[in-house]
Amino acid sequence: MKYTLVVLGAPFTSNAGRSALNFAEALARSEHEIFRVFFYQDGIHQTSAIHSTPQGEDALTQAWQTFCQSNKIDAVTCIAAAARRGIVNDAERARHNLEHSNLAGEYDLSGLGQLVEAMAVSDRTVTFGV
Amino acid sequence: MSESTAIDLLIICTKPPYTDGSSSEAIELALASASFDRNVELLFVEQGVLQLLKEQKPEAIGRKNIAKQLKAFPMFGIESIKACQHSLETFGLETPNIIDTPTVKSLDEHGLANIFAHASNVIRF
Repeated sequence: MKYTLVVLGAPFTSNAGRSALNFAEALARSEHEIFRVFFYQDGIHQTSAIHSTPQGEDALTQAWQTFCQSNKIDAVTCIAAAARRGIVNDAERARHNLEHSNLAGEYDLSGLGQLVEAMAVSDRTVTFGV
Repeated sequence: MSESTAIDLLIICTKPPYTDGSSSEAIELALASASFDRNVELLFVEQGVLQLLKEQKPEAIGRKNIAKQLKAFPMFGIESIKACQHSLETFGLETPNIIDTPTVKSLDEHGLANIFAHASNVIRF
C-alpha cells in the first residue's frame, strides 16, 4: 500500500515526530511504500537544521534527516506553516530579506498542494499529533 | 451533503477562536483543497463551534476575523459547513448567534457518523 505520513507536532513538546518516524521505519522495512512525508502545523519544527539535543535524549531531527536521506524519501515541509514559525530555506531567506536560513537540506519547502496531491494518490494518509 | 457523497477531505476544527493559529491554517487547507477540485468538508466540534460566532472583533489582538474568512467560502465552491449539534447546544449557540454565510448545518449523532463514514481523509485542527 502507498502511505503518506503527516507530522503535526513539534519535537520535544510532542511525541508526534518519534511515533511517525517509528512508523516510517517500519514501512521502509515492509512491502509497503512511503509516497511522501509532509511536515505541517507545528510539525515543521522537525525539519529545522539547528536543533541541538542534550546528551541522553532522543536526537529526533537528526534521525529524521538520516532516515529521509538513506531511504530517498519525498519529504516536504509546508512553506506557509514554516515561514510563520521561523523555518526558511535559502531561497525563502532571500525572498523575505532575512539574515539566516535554517531548513535542513533533506527537505523540500512547498505548498499545501503537495499534501492535497499526496492524499489523493495514497491509499492511506496517517496523521501524527493533534 | 447527501447520504452517499464521497468526501475527499474532512477538516475538523476543535479549538476555540484566537487561542492559536489553527483556525487560519484549517481555512487555508480547505481553500487549497477546493482549488484542486477536491470535495472538502469543514466540521466544527467541541469549543471549535465558538469560531462560528457572529460579531467577532479580533483586530485588537492582531488576528484575522474568522467569520469574514469563512464568508468567502462560497466563492471557492464551499456552500455549507457543518457543526456538531451537541456542541452548539453546550455553548448555547442558536441560529441568530452564528454566521449565515456559508450555511451552517448542524449534525446530530447520525449525521456525524454519516460524515465520518464518507470521508476518505481526516485532518484535525
